[in-house]
Amino acid sequence: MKHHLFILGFVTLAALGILSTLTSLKFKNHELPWKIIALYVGGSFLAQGVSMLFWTFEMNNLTVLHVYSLFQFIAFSAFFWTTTQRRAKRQSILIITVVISILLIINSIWNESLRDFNSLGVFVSNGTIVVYSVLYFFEVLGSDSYTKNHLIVNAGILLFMCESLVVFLFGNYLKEVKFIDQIGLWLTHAITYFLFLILIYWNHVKLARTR
Amino acid sequence: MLNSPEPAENLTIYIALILFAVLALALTIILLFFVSRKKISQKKLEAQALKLKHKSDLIIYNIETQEMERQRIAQDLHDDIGSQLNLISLGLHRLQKVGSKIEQEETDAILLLTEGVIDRVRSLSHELLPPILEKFGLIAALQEVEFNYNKINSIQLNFKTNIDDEDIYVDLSRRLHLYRICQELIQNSLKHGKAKCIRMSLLGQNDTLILSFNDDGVGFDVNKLDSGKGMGLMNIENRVEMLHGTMSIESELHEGSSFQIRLPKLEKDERDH
Ligand SMILES: Nc1ncnc2c1ncn2[C@@H]1O[C@H](COP(=O)(O)OP(=O)(O)O)[C@@H](O)[C@H]1O
Ligand SMILES: [Mg+2]
Repeated sequence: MKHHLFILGFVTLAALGILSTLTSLKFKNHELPWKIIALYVGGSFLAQGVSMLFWTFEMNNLTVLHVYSLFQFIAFSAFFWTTTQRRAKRQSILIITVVISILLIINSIWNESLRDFNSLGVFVSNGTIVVYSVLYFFEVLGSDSYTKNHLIVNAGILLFMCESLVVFLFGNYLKEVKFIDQIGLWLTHAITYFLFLILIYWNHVKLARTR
Repeated sequence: MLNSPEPAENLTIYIALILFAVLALALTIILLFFVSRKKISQKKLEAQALKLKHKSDLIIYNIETQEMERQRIAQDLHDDIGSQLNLISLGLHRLQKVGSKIEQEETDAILLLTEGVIDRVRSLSHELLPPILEKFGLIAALQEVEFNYNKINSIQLNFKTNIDDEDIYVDLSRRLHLYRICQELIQNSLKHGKAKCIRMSLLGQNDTLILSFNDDGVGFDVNKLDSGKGMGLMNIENRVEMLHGTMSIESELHEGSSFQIRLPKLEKDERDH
């Protein structure tokens, strides 16, 4: 079973490779928010690559998760920073990003071990992104701004952030659980993640068409 | 600490439950968003359509009142002022025959002036409402336009038609609208297009009346028209809309311009006799 999960990891890597190639095509023509998403996909590909490398050599790959969750938090914050038209919201996002990033680093160094899941870190950072995502929906409802170009990816972000928030929150407990009992959770995780990637691709195609 | 299988099993079940609850919540938010967005955009669309309808109603109303005013002024000019001026002129003619030489000369001058004013009033009232339209119809009126423009040497205006009985296609108000459209198209060709040669035709094809208009002027970019549409073309469009017709414009820079207007035939009960 663990073997299957390992293969799933490589499938994810391949999917990320394809998606990052697709999103980096005509990168220059992307609007700023989509440049950020493309960078995010590229970064995810790298992180997954490194993580699979660690896994292949049976090293603890949770360190990658610590770095990755910081990267992901900053990337999504930047995305929501560029898609909002409200100055107050922009400034708040900027301040919150700086504060939480520092907290995440402090947390990884002194609090949650680099060899464990950074549950608290993921909870706080994903929770913040979830709030941004919901606020984004509200903002689009209230205005005709260009932000509606990124609705699909926003739906994906909301789903994926909610899901991984729960899974990683309990990640350290799951380590104690028999593997067969947690396979369902990781499968759900994988399915949500693939759904997220598909939504990114869908949004990408839609943007390319309207351009 | 959670090594015994039973609590572990419970734990995964709890986690799974929480996970699905959270996912369901996220999905609900997404769904709610898309549903309410659809509703909002529908409402916006309706409001926009209403506004547009209101605007075109207003424009149509404007055109109609404008035509009514013109008609009224034309009639007043012709019947009231015109006839009174004629009386004055008659009186002056009588005066001419009596009185001293100086008085006669003065009367002559006033008579000349009065006749000038009479001419001016008549042509003004004809411009406002060409009587030929009512008396002899649209085709006669357009033939008159053709004749008048061809008197000017530098312009060649060609008008063609295949219609014998125009009453199937036009009633009095349609005649007036089509006449004004032609006037504006000619004005534009001369003013903007610096056209030398204009071809105009009014053709009846089955149930459709087709007004075609071509000039050899400088032309213009049709794509840029939306922003640069002036009162003239707007008015034409509105008149066409009032007549339930359609208009197409084709033009390219240095290639001349052409306009085509298609109107449906009049229903039997719409024809006036
Ligand atoms: N026959 C034509 N030839 C060249 N340009 C034309 C012609 N008809 C219309 N146009 C262009 O379309 C514009 C709008 O015309 P119009 O609505 O009649 O406004 P206006 O005559 O008041 O400028 C004009 O300014 C001109 O640039
Ligand atoms: Mg004009």
